[in-house]
Amino acid sequence: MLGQNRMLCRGEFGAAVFEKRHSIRFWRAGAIDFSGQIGGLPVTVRISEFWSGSVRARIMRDPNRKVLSALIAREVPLYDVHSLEDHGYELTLNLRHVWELITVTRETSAKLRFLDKFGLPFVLWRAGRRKVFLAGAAFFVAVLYVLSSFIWHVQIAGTDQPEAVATALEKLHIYPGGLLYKVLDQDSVQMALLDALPDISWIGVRISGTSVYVRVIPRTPLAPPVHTDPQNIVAADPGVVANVLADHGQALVKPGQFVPQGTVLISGILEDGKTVHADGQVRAIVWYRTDLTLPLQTVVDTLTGSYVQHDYLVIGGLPIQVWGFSHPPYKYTEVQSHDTPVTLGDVKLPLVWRVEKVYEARPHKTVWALKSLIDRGLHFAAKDVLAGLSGEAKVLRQNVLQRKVEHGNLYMTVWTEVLQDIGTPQPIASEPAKQ
Amino acid sequence: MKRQWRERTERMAAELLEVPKDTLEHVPRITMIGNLQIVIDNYRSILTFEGTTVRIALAKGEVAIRGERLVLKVIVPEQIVIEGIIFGVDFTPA
Repeated sequence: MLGQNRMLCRGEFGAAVFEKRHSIRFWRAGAIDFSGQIGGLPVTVRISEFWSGSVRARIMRDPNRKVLSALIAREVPLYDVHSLEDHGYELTLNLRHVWELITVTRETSAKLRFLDKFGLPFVLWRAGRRKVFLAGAAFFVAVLYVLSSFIWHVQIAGTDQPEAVATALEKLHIYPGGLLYKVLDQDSVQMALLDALPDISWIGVRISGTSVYVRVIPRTPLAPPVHTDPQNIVAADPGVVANVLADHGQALVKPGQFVPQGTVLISGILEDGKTVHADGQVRAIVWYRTDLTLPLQTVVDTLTGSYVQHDYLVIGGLPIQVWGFSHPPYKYTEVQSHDTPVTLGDVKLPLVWRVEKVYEARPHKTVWALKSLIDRGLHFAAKDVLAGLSGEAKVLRQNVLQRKVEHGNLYMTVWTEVLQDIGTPQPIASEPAKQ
Repeated sequence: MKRQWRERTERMAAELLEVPKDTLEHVPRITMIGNLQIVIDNYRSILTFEGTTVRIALAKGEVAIRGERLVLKVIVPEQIVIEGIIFGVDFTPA
């Protein structure tokens, strides 16, 4: 079929020559006219003509319509037969009947001329001659394919911590720019996310094209379980009781009372012998001693802002300098280096790219006055004491018990009075309850 | 003689059973849509074709369509569609 077209289009046969002024068009304007009359035949007939291709021919010097009659006798479908002056007419016929038209015309004295050609075979033939156009079409398809194999868009909805979900998704290769072929199917991703994120009750994953939509339903936090196991509240540290707030159980101490470590503060054993889960707050004043050593002089490095960068390629622990060879005339320097592993796709190569920045530093020497150094010491002591305590705690008073300047250092002992919760739970053995 | 008898019987049967006449194969069916389009089924051949007259041979006799700017829109076996401005349709019996 196409071979025939080719010959036809090159005009390799006698009288049948295309007029070159006619350009290829998909279909002559008006030939497919969905709204108007199309010759009483369904439109599909004309569309099939498009797929198989058709030509418009002019037959001249045929007063007796011999060609037309012969074509009708051969049962060749014809379309749009227009009569012309001077014993001629034009007709449209399917590409596969062109040779019949030529044969029939040769048997008469009529002249044949092809005017126009429509339909897909001609479009393809013409496209086949344009190599760059074909290459462009192939390139377009290839680019479309490559670009559609990436994830372009990840949307996470229904959570106030999308970063946590995004991190979990990243472990499953779902992130903008990730490759789609690495991504498992929706259900597997869903299951993996449900396992990875404990704070969610349900997660819906929809992979549609190059977009991934994730919908999270967060888990509603449960009420903390009510403890029923019997326990006492005892003193974790020795101190003077400031106030007692017993939620459950019986308070055994009063404000102002000194309690050594391990004293039962709130008892879980009631007067009638029942045991309960004692709970409450016992705040007491506790004393701490802190020994400090503070230097009278301190040197702090500040950076001036100027730096030089050295780049290294570390091969198996051996750094090789590849870029940045200048040695600045800095008297004091501070070096910060940052390592990036070199990867090829997913494969981690045994190479590390090291960026080393040498900053210029300027040392500042500070000589402390004794008064401000003592203040600093008190501050440090308070911080140190509070750092070791959990829950609410407040420094009430501080005192310097002892101080001594020796070897360029200030040695001091600080006494700190702290108001803190000293209660700690201690389970009651269940034997007494049974008796 | 035999053919005539066959035709007579067919026509008689058609009248008796009240079958529409166009169901008999060799009878042409001519459908007109206003004066714009004419569809002829069961034609035999085209005798002449000009912009003002189209003469079409039928199984028996012929039909001449007179008009202006007549175009043979579709020609397929069994059917022919003519469009244009139609002035008249003349039958010539065989």
